[in-house]
Order: sequence, then structure tokens, then C-alpha cells
Amino acid sequence: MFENADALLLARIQFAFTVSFHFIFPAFSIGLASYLAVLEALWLKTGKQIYQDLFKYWLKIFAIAFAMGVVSGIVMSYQFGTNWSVFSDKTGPILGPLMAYEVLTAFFLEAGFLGVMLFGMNRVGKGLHFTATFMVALGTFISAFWILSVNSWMQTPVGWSVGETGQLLPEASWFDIVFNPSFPYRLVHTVIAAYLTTAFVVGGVGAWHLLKDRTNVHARKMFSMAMWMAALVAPVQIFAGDMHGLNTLEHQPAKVMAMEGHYESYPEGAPLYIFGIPNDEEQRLDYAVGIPKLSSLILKHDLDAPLAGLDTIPDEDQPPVFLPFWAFRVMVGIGFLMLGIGAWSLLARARKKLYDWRWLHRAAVVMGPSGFVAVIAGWITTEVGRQPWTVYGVLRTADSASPLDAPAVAMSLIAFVIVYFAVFGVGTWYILRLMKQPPHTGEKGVKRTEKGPVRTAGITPGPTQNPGHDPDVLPGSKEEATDGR
Amino acid sequence: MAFDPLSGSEEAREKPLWQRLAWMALIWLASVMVLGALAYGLRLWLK
Repeated sequence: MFENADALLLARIQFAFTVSFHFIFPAFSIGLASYLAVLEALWLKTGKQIYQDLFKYWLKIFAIAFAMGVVSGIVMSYQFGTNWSVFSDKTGPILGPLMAYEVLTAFFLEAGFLGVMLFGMNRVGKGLHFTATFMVALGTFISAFWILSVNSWMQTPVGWSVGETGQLLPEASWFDIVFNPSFPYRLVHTVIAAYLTTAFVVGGVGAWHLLKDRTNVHARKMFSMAMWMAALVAPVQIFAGDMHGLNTLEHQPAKVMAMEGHYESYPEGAPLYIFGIPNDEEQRLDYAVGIPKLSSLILKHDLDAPLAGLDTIPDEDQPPVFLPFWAFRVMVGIGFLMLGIGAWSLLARARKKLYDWRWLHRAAVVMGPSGFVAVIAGWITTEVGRQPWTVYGVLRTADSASPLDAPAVAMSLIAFVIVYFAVFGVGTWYILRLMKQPPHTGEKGVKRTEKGPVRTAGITPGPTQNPGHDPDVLPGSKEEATDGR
Repeated sequence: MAFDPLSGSEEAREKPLWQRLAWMALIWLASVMVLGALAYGLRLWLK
């Protein structure tokens, strides 16, 4: 069994599988860590119970997502040694230190302070607890910084030379390696993507609970915060993505040709294809539907600017087109849907109907997981578009794999599929279960051993149903709230 | 009793700063060691 399979292809599938699973969790935890820091800061600054409640609600979810992200990340780093030992050997002198910084960050900032965040309040007090929360948020960002620097160097390698043993060695400046040409663009685009992913999860959960009970003040607050994020950050992300695309055109033109479906060159303005079925064998886009000259306008800011196609790239250096072409369209499509939701929420807010427009809430629920789809699609675009290289223009994927037989890679792939679906499936199911529970005031945290009276009829005085908002938007009664909606 | 990560802040406020810092260092170290043990376990599994 598997004797005739392609070991390289299996190793690539295995890495694609593990990295896709892994990416889901940091894409969520990077944004959620910052959201938690904001919530705790607001709680400490204003003393409002609602921020403490939301912090508690999302902290449990964060802890599980974070744990799954760390575990899947550790497995991935080991995979460099098991399946990609030649790549590790060749690039180790450059990428080893950068990845070590990432691991140190994950251990000493993220994981270390997460323990204080979860278990430390009654030992360290509010100020130090907030410090721990801030350090976790900072740690997730620094972790992303290092791993994206590694990935960017693989896309746009600079500052290296070949040593006597064939290894890629760092030249004079580590600054040039870390801040390689595509890194600033990739860092901004990816971190904003993580923030938007979290915003849409938070917004989706808030909208879900608003659909159940639109007087739920906690659901209102989280939905409102998420929609501010969507409205303000989605346009920035589209601009950052455009800048990233222009940077890719400069340094990895073949990737952009694949994303655009440009098999042939266009000397007098290239079309933007909206739809098409890439046909690598015939080197053409079947059933193509395009807008003339728009691609030249977007990429060169000139309708008639010439754009080279894959016909200018040697066959052995061409990336496959189907996956980058469609993954790119999925990512961009979701980006514009996010922009639309943000604009819709601004309209609803302006009309004081943010908590009333049921179709907006339904749309936000549907868009809840969209960030995950977008980041995976973006990842596929950039990684498949880099093929057939692991280090662009320097080291081929075919020359990077470990000398393993196909059955060995296949068995470990099967083991990963089983274990990942079991472990992360249970974790994800538990997260969804936690999200399903409506957030509410002080559900935890009142100990019977505390000094002071034991309250038997809830918290008195009751929390406001509409903090900081116009009282007119609230229904007068439960019946009114659900009437005809 | 349900786990509550934000309870006990008043209780902590009564303790001196050095004691709270020492607790922070201890919990931080324990958390790092837990992850270290987990990473080592995964390494053995993949070996």
C-alpha cells in the first residue's frame, strides 16, 4: 500500500493539512488576545461590570483556542525535521534563529503569562493580571512577527550566500534578512486579517445571541465593538492587500500571473478575469469571463500598461494556476463582503437600529467564520503561488524533502488526520458550545465566602440594558422586542 | 464552585507587592514548564 505513491506530494499534503489546521487557531487567538486586553483595560478604567463579564466569557474560549494553536504549532515545527530535513539543513543557518525566537516568544510570553491570566488574579491582583494579559497579547503579535518574517524570507530571500557545504548562510546584515522585501506587507496584511477574523467571530456570536434576545446587553456590546472593527479595519485591509499584491508583482511576478489567470502576455492592457477554469495543460483559461484592461489598471494604475503572462516563465518554474486563481478570488470576495457588513452596520448605527435589524444580525452570523476561510484562502494563494520553490528562486520544493519512502509519509499523514480531527474536533466543538451560551452578568465570581451580604435576588441595582446608548432603541417589553421579527 | 479567572482581586490587594510578584513568577514558571513537558511529549510521539 502506498508504494507507488509520490512521497513528495504526500509530504506536501501533510504540511498543507497541518498548517491549515494550525493557522485557524492563531488567526483567532492573535485578535482575541488583543480584544481581551482591551476588555480588561476598559474594565479597570471604567469599573463597568459588562467588560469584566465579556472578558470572562471570551477568556475561556481563548484558552482553548490558544492551547490548540500552540500544540498544532509545535507539531509543525517538528515536521521541518521529519519531512523537510533537506530544507531545514539548507536554510537552518538563516531560518533556525528566527524560528527559535518565535518558539521562545510562544513559551515565555504567551504560554507563561497565559497561566497568570487564567489562574493568577487572586494571587497577583488587578494590575499585574492586566500586565499578564497585555504580555499575552504582545506575545501573540511578536510570535506572528517572527513566523511571518521566516515565511517572507522564503518568498523574497535576501542577505544570503552559499557556504562550502551548500547551506544558505547569512551575510552581513540580519536586519535585511528579518525585514526582507515582502515582510512588512505580509505582516500588516496577515495581522489585520487575524484581527478581522476575531472581529467577525465576536460579531457573529453577538449577533447569534441578539437574534435570540435583542435585549441582551452583553450581546449588544460585543456586536457593537465587532462592527466598529469591521467598519474601520476592513477598508484598511483591502488597501493593505492591494499594496501586498503590488509588492508581490515586483518580487514574485509568476505568482501574480497565476492569481490573475494570465497564461498569455498582454502588451496593451490585461483583463481582470472574474471567472474561469484554469487549464495548465493547454495553458489557457477556459470559460473565461473578464473585464478588459482592469488588471493593468489595478496592478500598474494604467489601462494600457503591458503585463507579462506565464508564457514568459519557463515551464519548470511555473506555479500551478487553479489553486492560486480561485483561492485569491475567495479571499478577495470575503474581504469585500466584510467591507459590506461594516458599511451596513454603520448605516444601522446611524439610524439607531444596530440592535434591531435582524437581517444584519443574520448576515453577521453567516459571516462569523468567514475570516477563517479568508486566511486559509490567502495562505493557499501565497504558498501555492510560490511553487515550485520553497525558497523562491533558490531552493526547489522537490529538492527540499526528506529522503523518505511514500508509505512512511502516508502513514504519518493518516495518523495526523485521525489525531487532528479527534483532538481539534473536540476542542472546536467545546468552543462552539461555550459560544452558544449567552453572555450574562456575573454568572461566575460571586463566592459565598466573600465578605458582604449574600444576594438572593440578583445584582442590585440591575445593570443598565443599554449602556451609553439611546434608550429609545430598546423595546419596552419582551413582547415588543420579539413582535413580528 | 465554577472556575472564575477574575475572582479574588480584593484578596490579592491586601498582600505585599513582593508576594504578588513572587506568585506571578511562580505561576509563569509553572506554565512555561507545562508547555515544555507538552512539547517534549510531542517530540517523543513524532520521533
